[in-house]
Amino acid sequence: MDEVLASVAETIKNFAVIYLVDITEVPDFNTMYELYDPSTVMFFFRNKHIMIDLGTGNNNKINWALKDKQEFIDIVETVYRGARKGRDLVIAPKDYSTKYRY
Amino acid sequence: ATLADSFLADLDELSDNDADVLEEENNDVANMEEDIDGDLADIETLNYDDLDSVSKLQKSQRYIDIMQKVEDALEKGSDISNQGLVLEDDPEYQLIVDCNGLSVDIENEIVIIHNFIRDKYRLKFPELESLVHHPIDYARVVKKIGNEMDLTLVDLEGLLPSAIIMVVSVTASTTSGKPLPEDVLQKTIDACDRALALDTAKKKVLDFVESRMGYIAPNLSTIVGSAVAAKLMGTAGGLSALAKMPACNVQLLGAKKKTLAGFSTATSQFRVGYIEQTEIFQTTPPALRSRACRLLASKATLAARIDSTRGDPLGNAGKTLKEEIHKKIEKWQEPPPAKQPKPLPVPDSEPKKKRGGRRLRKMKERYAITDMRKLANRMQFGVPEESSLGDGLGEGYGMLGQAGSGKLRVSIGQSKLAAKVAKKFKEKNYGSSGATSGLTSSLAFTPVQGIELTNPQAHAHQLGSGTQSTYFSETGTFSKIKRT
Repeated sequence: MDEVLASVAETIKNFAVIYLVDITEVPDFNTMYELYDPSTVMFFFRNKHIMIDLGTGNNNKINWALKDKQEFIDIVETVYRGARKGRDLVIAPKDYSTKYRY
Repeated sequence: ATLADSFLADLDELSDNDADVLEEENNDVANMEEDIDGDLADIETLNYDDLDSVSKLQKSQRYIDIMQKVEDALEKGSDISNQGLVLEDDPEYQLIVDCNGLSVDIENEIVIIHNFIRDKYRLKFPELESLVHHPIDYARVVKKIGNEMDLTLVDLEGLLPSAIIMVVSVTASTTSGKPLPEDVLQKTIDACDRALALDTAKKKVLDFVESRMGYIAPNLSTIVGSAVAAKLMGTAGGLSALAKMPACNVQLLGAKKKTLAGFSTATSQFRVGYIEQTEIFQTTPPALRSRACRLLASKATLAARIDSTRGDPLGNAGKTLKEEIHKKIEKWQEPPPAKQPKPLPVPDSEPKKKRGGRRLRKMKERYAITDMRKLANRMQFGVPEESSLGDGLGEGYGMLGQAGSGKLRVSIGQSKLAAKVAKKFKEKNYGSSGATSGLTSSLAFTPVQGIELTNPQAHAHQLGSGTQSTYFSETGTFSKIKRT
């Protein structure tokens, strides 16, 4: 996930900024946001937490590693559009309910 | 009486003028006919058996003089020019000018002789003229073949490219020609000899001009080289003639006609003449050659113009132009700048460019809500609507088909655009007099039910009563509201 984030940072720098936080070094928010997965991505707009309906049941965060850069950019753009309109919950363009397909 | 007389006199003058004009016209026509006869006579003389009546150049005094001087000058070697003298007074310059004129004359002469040879040889081998275009090559081939019917005995190696030799041999085996009589053959061979002699003379003249090129036109020779410069000057007919040509013509000087015989034209270079032989052209990569040719031609024309006015005798302008050409060609060969990755723009920051206009409106009409759907969407107050499955189940029909709507069936109705157009049309055609055509009627003939009397105003108000304002109605007119 780190590679995806690093490569995307320049492309979306006009409307999004990415902060990488090590939860072992900064454990202050672990209980507040329930951060215990290997990678978690959460979205904030003007100090408000924005929820995304990904179909996984957990609307607060993306707690797996995305492989595709374009997918991630789409999610960020959707969040931005919805947040600017004042929505607290946006619907992700792709459904991840079957992400654990076997 | 005098006035009447003067009028009569005017009339007489008019008629006289007509008569004069007619006579003059007749004279002109007669003259023209004589001229045409004269021209025809000239053309006919070319068909004479005598070569000398056709090609007079070699016997002319001017030719002999100039050739003599050229040979002397060539033997003397290159002459260090007298810088002090004005160009026009230098006898060598005069010789150069004469040489230019002569080379053009020689070329014309060669064309005339070529026509002569062709006419004579047509009896023997008519297809040869379409296979071998160049007059000198044609003359050489004719001389080699002679009266031979079997081309396998004739060796054309070195005269033509081998592919053309093959085509010539194949065509000769199926040719419809017959051997020539002896005297005709002799005349043809003589004409070929003369053409070849003229060709060698032209070469000598060009060599001489080339050796003097650095003195005559230093700027031009710096750019294209002295051989090509000499050829260009020779074909143009002098330095001033070359300077007067536009650059596009200079590019085409010396361009060969396209080769036929089924060869692919994909590799043939398009529209290059003597410029092709310059060093700069030969060293450019093939992809850039047509651009380079145009560039060379334009700069060469500039240099020729400088030289014709003797503006820069040392040739510095030519050097700067050459540098320019080199720089430009190098710049063309640079790779394009690397692609920068651009960040995405902020979403929704740039408003969509909404288009308008007639075309878009017509497109939107296809998806607009029709009157039928509008009626179905609305309900009358207190009146239950009919539905497709009855009893409130299924789709509701709204105000469609309700009693009191005044219509048996809902028509599509006019679109707004059509309404506007119809209104304008009506105003144009019927608005002026105010009287409508006598054939209009308020009766509507429906196909199923027969005659239906409709009040044309009711249709307009059905939808409009509560919801549509009459301010912005397309078909509405001015209305008068009585003060109560």
